Amino acid sequence: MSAEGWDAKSRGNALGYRVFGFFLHCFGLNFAYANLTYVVLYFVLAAPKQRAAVWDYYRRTWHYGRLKSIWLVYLHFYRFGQCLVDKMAMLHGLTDKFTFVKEDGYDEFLQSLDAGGVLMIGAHIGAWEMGSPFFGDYAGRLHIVMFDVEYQKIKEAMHRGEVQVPYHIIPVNDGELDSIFRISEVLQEKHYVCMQGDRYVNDARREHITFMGREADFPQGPFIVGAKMRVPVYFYFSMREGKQYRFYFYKAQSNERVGSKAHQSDLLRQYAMVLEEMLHRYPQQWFNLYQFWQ
Amino acid sequence: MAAYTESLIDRLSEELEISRESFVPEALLKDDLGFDSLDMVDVVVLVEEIVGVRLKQSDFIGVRTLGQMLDLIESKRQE
Repeated sequence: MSAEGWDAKSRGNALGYRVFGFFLHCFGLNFAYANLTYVVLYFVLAAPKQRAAVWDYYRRTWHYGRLKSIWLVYLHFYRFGQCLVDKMAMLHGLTDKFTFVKEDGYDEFLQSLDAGGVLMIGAHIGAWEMGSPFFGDYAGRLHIVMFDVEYQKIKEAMHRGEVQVPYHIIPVNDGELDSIFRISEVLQEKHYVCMQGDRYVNDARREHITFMGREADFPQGPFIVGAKMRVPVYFYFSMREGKQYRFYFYKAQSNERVGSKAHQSDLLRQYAMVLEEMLHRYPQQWFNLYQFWQ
Repeated sequence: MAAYTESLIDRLSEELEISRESFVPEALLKDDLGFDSLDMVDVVVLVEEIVGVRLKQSDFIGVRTLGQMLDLIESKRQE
């Protein structure tokens, strides 16, 4: 089982991706953003579970009033739509439409990449995919861990020549050994692995912590890999600021015994702390659109 | 039994928090020891650290018990 209300699938299909790509090429980004104003309204009305989750986020996590929350729910879906548009634009090769800003920690991050074997743990905030062109020559050694259903969609689009993916993908299915071995192998080959640390698919492998003042479950997997594989662990986020994306790199540091359970928990604790900091800076870019908190 | 076996099993028992007595050759990795995919991270890392052998997924085809896994490690070590 996975996190309640989340089924590892995203909305959208191959035809949708194709039509969207066509419009992006013909009419540009601003046209796509303008169309979002009514598309988003449809989704706000037609996606009650996601709407309820965002409502809960503003009402119970941020403690905003009803009127403000109504407006923020719409805005939240709109920001989500903008990030999706940006990701599609990037996959269709329109990278020159964006500017990228590196935050502190980038030089140290590059040094780790040069040394080889780095685990990056991201989250469903902002749009991490926007970083792939920014990684330049490093992208060839970048392996993104994603759920198999998502991978199949991208693979189909790649076969049709509709999208360009500069990184490698490690597809995962719950309980399968392939992905764990693949992650281990590419890290040993001094490549980089990027995985998301905020969603779990295995009920038995989750850790309960306080996050943003509320109780929530996080997956153990990324933090087990981070603790055991003896490679530098970075928390990586790519956040939207208009047509500019700002990249954040935080290196995890732990005094716990390498590989121990305490080490895993310490990594998760640091991750949650950094993720909270990101949400305080970019509250509208929290894209876990399901009942995340208990 | 190879010299490293005791050390490897001790570390697996400690890291995975599984009783040392459960590590008998006929123990099924999944059903008796409760190994899941994330536990294999420990197996791969500890085998490399203690025995100096790097295991791949293809090595595990047909491996179901602890005894079979130890035989696999020993055969890889002798390669």
